[in-house]
Parts: sequence; structure tokens; C-alpha cells
Amino acid sequence: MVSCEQKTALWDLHRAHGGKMVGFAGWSMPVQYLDQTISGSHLWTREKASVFDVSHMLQTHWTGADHVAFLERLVVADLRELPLGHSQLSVMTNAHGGIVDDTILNKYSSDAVYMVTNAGCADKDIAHMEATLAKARQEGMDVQYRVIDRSLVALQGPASMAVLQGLVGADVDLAAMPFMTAQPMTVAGHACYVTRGGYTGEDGFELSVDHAAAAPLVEALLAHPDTVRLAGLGARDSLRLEAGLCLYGHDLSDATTPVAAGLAWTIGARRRREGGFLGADAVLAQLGAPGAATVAARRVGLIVDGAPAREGAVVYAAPPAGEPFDPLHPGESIGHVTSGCPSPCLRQNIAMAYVRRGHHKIGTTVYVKVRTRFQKATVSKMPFVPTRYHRV
Amino acid sequence: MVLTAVRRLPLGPAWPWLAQTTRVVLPRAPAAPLGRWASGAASRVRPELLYTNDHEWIRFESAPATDKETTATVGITEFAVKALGDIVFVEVPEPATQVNEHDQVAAVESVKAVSDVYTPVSGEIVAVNEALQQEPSTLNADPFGEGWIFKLKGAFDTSKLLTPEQYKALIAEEHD
Repeated sequence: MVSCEQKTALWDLHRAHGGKMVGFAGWSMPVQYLDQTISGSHLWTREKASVFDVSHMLQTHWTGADHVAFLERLVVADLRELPLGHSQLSVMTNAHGGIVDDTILNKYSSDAVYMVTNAGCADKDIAHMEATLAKARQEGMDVQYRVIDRSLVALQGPASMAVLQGLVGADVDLAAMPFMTAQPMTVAGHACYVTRGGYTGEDGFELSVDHAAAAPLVEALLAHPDTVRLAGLGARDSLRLEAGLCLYGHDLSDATTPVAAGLAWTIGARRRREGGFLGADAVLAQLGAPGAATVAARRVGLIVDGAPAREGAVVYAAPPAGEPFDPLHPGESIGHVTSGCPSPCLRQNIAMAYVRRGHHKIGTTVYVKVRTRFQKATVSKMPFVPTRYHRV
Repeated sequence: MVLTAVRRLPLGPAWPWLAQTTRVVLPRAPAAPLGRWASGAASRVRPELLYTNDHEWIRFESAPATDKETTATVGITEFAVKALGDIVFVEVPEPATQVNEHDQVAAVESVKAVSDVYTPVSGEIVAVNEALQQEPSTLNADPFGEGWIFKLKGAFDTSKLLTPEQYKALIAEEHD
């Protein structure tokens, strides 16, 4: 089969370990490995540790006298106040306040920011960055960026710290490294830039490393097969959903604002006061005083009875108290599911959905149509499974 | 059974309160084609059953004919079950409904994928395996036995069904 999919530096390693490769955002990536089912791999990550290849994600490095001021146009984060070495989840917005992509930004040094965005948005992100950059340069701003052509490997799960500690020098004390901080370190002899975090809800690390060192680094992480195993995109998706984390293209889009997406918390006090990011007027209006223009639909978590509700399933309002739901007259739809799967940890069906305001409160009963049947669902708090990030 | 990537409707006009900008729906980790998930060579094919291109099997209580009623039991093959992985939910059809050949009548779900089950022949649903709703993993453990999904009554036309040899060839092909 002829394929134009890109391969990461770990492609041969995936194949050698029984990776089932699928096309994802233009890349050939492992969805799972032969020796584990997706739920097996999911549970392993929650109990021990898994290694994920996330090299397809877009890593960029930003510099220039005005790089912070420029990035504050591009994203909603307060980068000026972000302490050295610290990272933050944020979103890039468009002129209408819609989300171009979600991203992790890291204050790499006093004069550089390291940014990671989604593989699936890489082309769109770069076009958006370039367009915003062109305008800023016309205004005389001094800012440059380059794509970091390196591999990115995530080690996730409660055993991650012990595993990584065994591969770094005695001068590095991982117990003292909090969630969402980053620092350079040598791991199994390879120079890495290590961020404490990930996208599974577990403690873990993301290691940015030269392509040539990626495979030996992963082999070093896999040296304890009773603790660390490879995991693919399948487990990554169900893990992030249990952790209540959004997947761009499903739970987030160019049409959803940070407020609708429940990501208003990423906009700090100073950014709310000063605005300055693209689409700030629209977004800040949604955050305004009671009675002000507000979002029509909100992202919520659902626990669904019966069959799992997947993306696209339509949500309906519950009938007035005491009345049974009438499948022949379900009424008007109030929203739709954007991600959903059976939760391997909870053994319940979990989903994210956008529902009309007024139906978004925790505990609200709604109905979700799966194939031909209407199934009861309850708006539930997220994360569905408590996160276990490393606080110091 | 058709294994579909769990990706359904994008936003449409049914949700007018959301902004009208184009919504980009990117592929999430899709369910791969069956052949890349399961080894056709390693999956058993029972010689006494007939099969469909969609990986259902069918067992007749007595020789089927278009002018004589009999009962048939339907399930999905070991190949299909291996392709799905851990099965966590089985939706069975409503008993006493009349179904036509290739109607979608049941669904089988794993963490990552949902797959529709089609009836191989036309007839009336006379029994469904309710036990699968309590214990869906029975389908993984015994796809040709305890994992049966529904039973049909009718005078069946079997001309479009695959023989074990034909089905074996089909899954060998999907494996390549």
C-alpha cells in the first residue's frame, strides 16, 4: 500500500513492538500494541506507567524582544507573569474568539517560550501564526519562531517518577519538580527537555529529545517491562476523556469559544482585565456581568445509561418531573455529544457534550439518542476519574 | 458486522445556537480496517456454519429453504471479535420484530469502536441473547456459542451467504 503518511523517529520501534499503525493527522501512529487491548493498556497506565509517542505534535520555539507581547495576542495565557520553567495549558483564539487550537506553553528561558500544539492542526496553526506574525511585524514587533524538529515522548502513570528517577543523575530530584514545570535533564545519557505533565490525568512527563536519541531513550524507559509498556492513541483517547481533557477537532473547534468550552479558567485576571488576545471582545463579553451576552451552549460531562454515546449523538431535554420520556415526541434537541466511550476505570459510559444553557448544571437529567434508542444521561462533573498530578 | 470509526455527524443546522463557522472534524485514532487488527489465519472458522461478508455467522436448526420455515441463530465471528478487542456493550434487537436481509439489528461496542450487526437473512426475531447485556465479554470468550446474538424464524433464502471456505478466503484476504 502506498502511503504518504509521515513517520516519527519511533516508527520502526512501534512496528518491532507489535504496534498497529493507523493514519492520524497525516502521521502513521500506533493505535495499540498486539500484546494489550485498549482497555488493558488504559488500566495499565492508571496502575503503572506507559510510554506514548507524541512526536507528531508541533513543537515551536519563540524568541525576540517582543515574543511575550506577541504570544499574548496569539493565546489567552498570562505569559508575562508565568514563572521561569513553568508551563500552562492555553488556547489560541481567532478574531471571533473561537479556538484555533489548544496548546501548552512553557517559559523556556527569560527570552524564549516553548510551545506544543496539535498535529492535526499543524498546517492551520502555522498559517494562523504566520498571518498574525506578519501583521505584528508591520507594527514593528520583534518576534521569531522556529519549528523544533525533535521527537516527543510521554511517560504517563503513577510509576513514571520512579522510572524516570532511575534514568537521571542524582542531582535531579523529581519529587521536587511540580506538575507543569519543565527543565533540561539528561535521561539515560540523552539530552532531553522534560515537562512534568501529559494528557492522561496521571502524573507523568513529556520528554523532547533529538530524533536520533528517541528510540534508545524509549528502550531505556521500557527496560522494566513489568512496570512500563508502550501505549497507543486508543488508550490515550480514553485516558484523556476520563480526565476531562478536550480533544481538538472533537470537543473544541474554530466555532467554540474558551467560555463555551469550559476553558475560561485559562484566562487569568490580568488577561480578563486587559484583553489583547485575538477575539478578546467576544470572549470577554461572554465572561461579563450577569445578564451580559453569554454562551448559548456549554461543554459538559455526561454519564450515559445503556449503550455508549459517541461523537454526534444528539441530546434531548428531559420531560417535566414525573412525566416519562416519550421517544415518539422527544422534543427539540438541546445539544450533541463530541466525544464518548465506555470508561475502562468507571465501567460506565462517559461523554463530553455541548448542551444548551440551562441544561448544563451538574445532576441535570438529559436523554441521548444512540442509534434508535433514547438513553438517560446525567450531567456530571469532570474529570470523571480524579487526576493525580504531582503537587509539591 | 461493519467496523466503523467512532466518528459520526459533524455539527449541522440542527444546533443553530452554536456559531455557524465551519467545524473541522479531524480523524481521531480511527478503527483500523479489520485486516490490520486481526489475524485471519489465526481465527477459527466453524465448518458447520454459513457466513456473511460483514463477519456474521448463521446456524440453521434444520436445512433452510425458501418454502419451509426454520429457525436460525446469528452471531459475529471470532475474526470480528478479535478485531474489536474487549467488548463492553452489546445492543440486541427487539424480539418479535420483522427484519429484512441486511437490516442493522444489533450493535457491538468496544472502548474504541462501535460496529453494527446486520441480519444475514429476512425473518422474524424470535429470541435475543439478553445475557450479553449483563456479560458482554461472553462474546470475546465464545463467539460461536454462548456469544450468539439473536434467533430468527423464517423461510430463508441462503443464496447470498458464504460457505466456510469462502469466508476463510475472505478473512485471509483482509489479513493481507
